[in-house]
Amino acid sequence: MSTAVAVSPRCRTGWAEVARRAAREPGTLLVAVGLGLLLLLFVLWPIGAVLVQSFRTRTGEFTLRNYGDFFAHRFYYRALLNSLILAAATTVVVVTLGLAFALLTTRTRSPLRRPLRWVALLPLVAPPFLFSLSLIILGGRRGLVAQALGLDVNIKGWPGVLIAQAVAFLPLAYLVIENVLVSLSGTLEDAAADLGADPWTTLRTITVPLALPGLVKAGLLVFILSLADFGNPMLIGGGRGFLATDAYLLLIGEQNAPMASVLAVFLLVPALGAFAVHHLFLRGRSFTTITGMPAVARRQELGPVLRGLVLGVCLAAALVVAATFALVVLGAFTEVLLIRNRFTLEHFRSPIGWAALQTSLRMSLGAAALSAGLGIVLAYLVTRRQLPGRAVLELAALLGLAVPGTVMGIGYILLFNTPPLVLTGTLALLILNTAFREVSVGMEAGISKLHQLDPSLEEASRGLGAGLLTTFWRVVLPLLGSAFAAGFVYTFMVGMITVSAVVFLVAPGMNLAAVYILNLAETGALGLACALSVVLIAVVVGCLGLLRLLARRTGLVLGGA
Amino acid sequence: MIPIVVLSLGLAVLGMTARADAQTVRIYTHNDEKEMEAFVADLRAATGLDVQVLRMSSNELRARVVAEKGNIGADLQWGMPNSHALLAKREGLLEPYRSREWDAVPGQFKDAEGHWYGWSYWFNAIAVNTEILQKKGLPRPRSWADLLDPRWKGEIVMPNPGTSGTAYLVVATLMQLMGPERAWDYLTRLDRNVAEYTKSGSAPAEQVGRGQYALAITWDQAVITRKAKGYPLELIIPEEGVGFDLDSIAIFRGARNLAAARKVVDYVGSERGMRLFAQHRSKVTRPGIAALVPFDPKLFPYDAARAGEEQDRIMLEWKTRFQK
Repeated sequence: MSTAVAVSPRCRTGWAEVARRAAREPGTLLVAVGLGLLLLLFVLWPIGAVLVQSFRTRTGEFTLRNYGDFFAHRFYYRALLNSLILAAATTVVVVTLGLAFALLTTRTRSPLRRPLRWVALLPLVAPPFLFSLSLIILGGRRGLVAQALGLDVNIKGWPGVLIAQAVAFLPLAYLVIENVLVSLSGTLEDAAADLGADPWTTLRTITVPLALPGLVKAGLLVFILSLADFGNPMLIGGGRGFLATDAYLLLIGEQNAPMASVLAVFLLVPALGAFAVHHLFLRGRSFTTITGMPAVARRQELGPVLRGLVLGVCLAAALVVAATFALVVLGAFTEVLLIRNRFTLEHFRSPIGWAALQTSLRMSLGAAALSAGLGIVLAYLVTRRQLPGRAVLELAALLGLAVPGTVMGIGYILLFNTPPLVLTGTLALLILNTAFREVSVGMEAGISKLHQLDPSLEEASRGLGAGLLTTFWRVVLPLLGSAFAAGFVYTFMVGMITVSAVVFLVAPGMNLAAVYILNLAETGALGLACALSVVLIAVVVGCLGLLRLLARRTGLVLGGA
Repeated sequence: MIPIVVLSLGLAVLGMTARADAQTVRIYTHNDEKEMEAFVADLRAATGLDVQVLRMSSNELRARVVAEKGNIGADLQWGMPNSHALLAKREGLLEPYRSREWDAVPGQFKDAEGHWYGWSYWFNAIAVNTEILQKKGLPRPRSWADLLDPRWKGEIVMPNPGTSGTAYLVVATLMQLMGPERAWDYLTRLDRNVAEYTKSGSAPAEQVGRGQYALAITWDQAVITRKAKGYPLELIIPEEGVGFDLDSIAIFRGARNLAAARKVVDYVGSERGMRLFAQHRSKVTRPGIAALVPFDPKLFPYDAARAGEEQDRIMLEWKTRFQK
């Protein structure tokens, strides 16, 4: 070959250097390639399959008609509009609430701040659509509120979905914002106060601007979650079309895979946009105000008016959260809530429900182990080993979380139902789907942990003659224990309550508790749905407690809540 | 820490390798959860089979079966609309089987070549909440036409024909009863009174039973079981007649466990099975067994094959007109 490719000398040595290093560590390279292939198969390929399917007719020929149809029929593009409007509204409401709770817990000494914190975090352990379930009982036409006040109200439609989502996504927004507020040193707020600013001015000109990256991050997170939400629009949307639910109904209800894929693409684009904004502009950026310099700051408190306002907002939100949980418990032990209010345990005798719960447990434990394990190996490869394409590995892993579950679910159905890889109807597919959607949680935790650890520990180990594998196993892994635990716990929790992707993948004898609850709630079997929800929540809380205990015994620190 | 990693990875692998064995039969069904639990318990007792069930709405299952063609995730479907059975037979999705247990069932309820068997039938019905009717002074409707009265505005709930076989049966029956033009006009005027379209066919009866709305368009059993539970419901058969559907059972071509699937078909046709189903179903097809509905409703002679063929076209039109 005489036509040499023009490559700059620097670049060539760069690649040569990388290649040489990789050749010195064939094992590392092998693991990296293996992980890359897995991510390709279980994250990128399903997304690609959805994209390709959206350009096909039902018989498989290439076409642009599907996108034409999308904009030609109001019932398609209306779903896109509805989803965007809902996501924007939910984001505003949830970030406001999250900020109020974060201010309450970090900037006041209110005796209520600890109980309110727990109430705000409570929705984490419940399936996200649980709140629709109780809102229907509470605010449905001739529901509790309507009966008590003698009004003709119907919460179904916009108000219902908005409230249900606000409650469901509050904990994540709150945790992100609280995290930022805690890490802001009080010195600047002190200075503002000393210079005579009243609490409101301090909040407006110092605290909020400094916390802005955190607020935007929380907002983007909520935006993606709201777009991808499946259960709430289904249960309490009052028949209004939303992308995630409509894509499901098109594929499952009308066998229309091409149009379902088109809707999924319109779900994917804004979600990826939010992800890109977050990844490109916000990651790693914060207004650091805590430095190595000792700074003794009084924690600034909100003034009485502001404090009252924040407390009022929090109390109102907490009341809604507490009421929804209370109603679910009531519904579980009542024959027919509001019609025949007699105590019963009948709803807990559902063999199908118990079987589904067992499957959920097996699935979540499997997915948690797989995702946490892969997550920390990924973290190690990305931060510590000079590998070609490691940024791509990291990005692929992050995509799993950013891509709405509906898109993943459709992609999995398109791919794994035909040879060569027939996996539909197996527990393995549910495990793989959940694990690869959450793999970045363990990875991110591992990366931030590794950034805190000096590589000299590993170098010492290698200097003393230990091989790479031994070093990873005996030095890195024990240090990454907390990252593994974070990935494990988070994936486990999500696995127990997730619906949007797995709803496409459940099979006979392989139904999941959260999917079954949604099913029961939709047909109106509210008692059974409430009872299984109560059991599911108890199991999640119990398992979390057990893991905490285990972690304490082994000296681990669990990240997050 | 490391033992935990090893242990949990081991668990993950173990969980993934669990598979079904030869005594296992996998069933798709649109049957109600509660009745299916009773049926499955008796099926287990009668045959000794290990039974795995996935319940979805009939259209969801239809989509799934079509998508899974060549590798259908169940051995058979027990509980499917007859129109779906007719379509599936034509598409070559079904495995014929001649069961002696079904000899007693009249020919009109089964396929001549044994591709499918109809084990019970159900029909559309209207349900009203008697307490609300009394409180609001609403008249008891007698016909489909009565539902167009503006007094019902915001008080009617019906299922979505895109997801519910019950609702599609209503729409297809009206098309055949009135002719397309008048039927669309009827549905448009009905839409003004409809407060909500639900995903499942039973949900309207539940909502009206709970008093959320006054009138449900639904199917007989959704009303009868809830009335028995103490809901203030009354079942009404409109005088024009109602559509009915022969609930079918069919084995899928390529069933992994054909022998077990045949045992299920035998069981469903048996006297023992039919007596059990009669406790849960409006009508069963084996002669001489009295089921839940003591009267014979006025059935509209509904052409299931035609309804199946027209489904795509009708649904596009329906969504264009009524989807919010």
